[in-house]
Amino acid sequence: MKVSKNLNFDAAYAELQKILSDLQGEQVSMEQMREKVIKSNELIKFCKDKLRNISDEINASLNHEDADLN
Amino acid sequence: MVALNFQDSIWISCEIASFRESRGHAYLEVIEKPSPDADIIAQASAVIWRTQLNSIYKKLGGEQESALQPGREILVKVKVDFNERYGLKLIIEDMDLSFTIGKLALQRAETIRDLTAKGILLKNKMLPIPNVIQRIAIISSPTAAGLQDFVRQLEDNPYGYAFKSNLFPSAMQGASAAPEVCAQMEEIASRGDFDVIVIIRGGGGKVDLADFDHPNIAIQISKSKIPVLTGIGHDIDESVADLAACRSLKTPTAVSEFIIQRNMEFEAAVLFTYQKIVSSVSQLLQFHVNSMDVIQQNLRWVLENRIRNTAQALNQLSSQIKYISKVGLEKWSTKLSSIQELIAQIAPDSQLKRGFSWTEINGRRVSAQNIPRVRDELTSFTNEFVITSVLTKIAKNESK
Repeated sequence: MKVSKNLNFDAAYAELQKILSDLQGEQVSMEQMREKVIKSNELIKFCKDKLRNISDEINASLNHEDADLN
Repeated sequence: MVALNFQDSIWISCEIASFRESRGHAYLEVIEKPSPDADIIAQASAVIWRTQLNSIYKKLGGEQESALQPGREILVKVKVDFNERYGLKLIIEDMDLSFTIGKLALQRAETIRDLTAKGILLKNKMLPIPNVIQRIAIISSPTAAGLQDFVRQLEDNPYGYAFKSNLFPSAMQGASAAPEVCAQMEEIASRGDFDVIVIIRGGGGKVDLADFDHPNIAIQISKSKIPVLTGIGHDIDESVADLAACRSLKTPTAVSEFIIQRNMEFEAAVLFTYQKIVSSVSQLLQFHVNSMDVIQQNLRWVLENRIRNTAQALNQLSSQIKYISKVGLEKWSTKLSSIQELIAQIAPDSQLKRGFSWTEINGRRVSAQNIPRVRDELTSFTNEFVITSVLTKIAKNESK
């Protein structure tokens, strides 16, 4: 299971929440559970990267504006 | 008989009625009047023979033409000659010039008194002389030396002023001087387009000057609407014409100097005014330039202020956005972390590591919804093994 390149943060987060509720449910096998945990780790990594990028972009952009004004 | 009675020469005073020269001799008619306007009470023919005429001319020193002209009163030494054919004749042997001059001075004083009483001497002086004199009517004799000096000096003026002068020729001495000058003044008045009338002639004697004492010239000057400048060329005395003129100067050269000087003064005044205009205009310009600078400074200041304020507001906005986004990102980060933690707890590996096992039947976890029966085949996962077993007994967990 690979993380799609077109995936965005909101979709990834929504999927994470679904995985969590699936995992909390009763009807999953060991194998499915393993796959979902792996998938969730990828999604979490993706989301964290996304957050870090967004933070960097925001900082860079705002710092850039400061440089222009001062 | 008379000759017998007057064998010796005698001095008599009389007035010349006519005078002509012929072959070096002079022939005169002399008369006697009790006053200038009275009738003649005596008349006689007189002659001056060549020898006496020459010595009298020498004595008169160039003033003979003025002294020996009709109207002049003379004191002469005569011998009475009687010829049976030509009758009585006075032979003039000598002449006293000072008598003539004295008579002229008396006449002159009389004329001045009369003209002053009538206000004639002031009339032309009331006229303003133009600031710029360019059109000049000259009354003079074409042959007068003073005329040449006058015209040359005007033409050669160092400032390059242009003059338009017209000569109105007139006799400048003798009995015809007064009527000719008056006639030319009338001619000039009828033309009218002149700035000044200039009456000039070269130097002359005291008796010569008397020609310009004639009241008619002064009266004509007083009638003129154009200012009259005189330069009749006498250093000591002024003629009556001089007294009546707007401005009298000693010589023709003095008149041209006066005219040039007056033009120059006007030009200087114009230049001065021009300089004043130039300097006030440049001052005014400088003032406006300065106020432009001030306005520009103010504009720049207002703009810079505006920019600085806007920049500050943007910076504030920017840091607010930074803060809010940081908070927002942290919230997301926290959410992600808690999901990660939850999943980690749920993850089977961690459960198995802690000693729990996982049991499935037919690929599904054993639960209340998936209850196995005895002899069913179960698959159990532990940390180290996958155990396949057959169910022998199943009971509910009573501790729950």
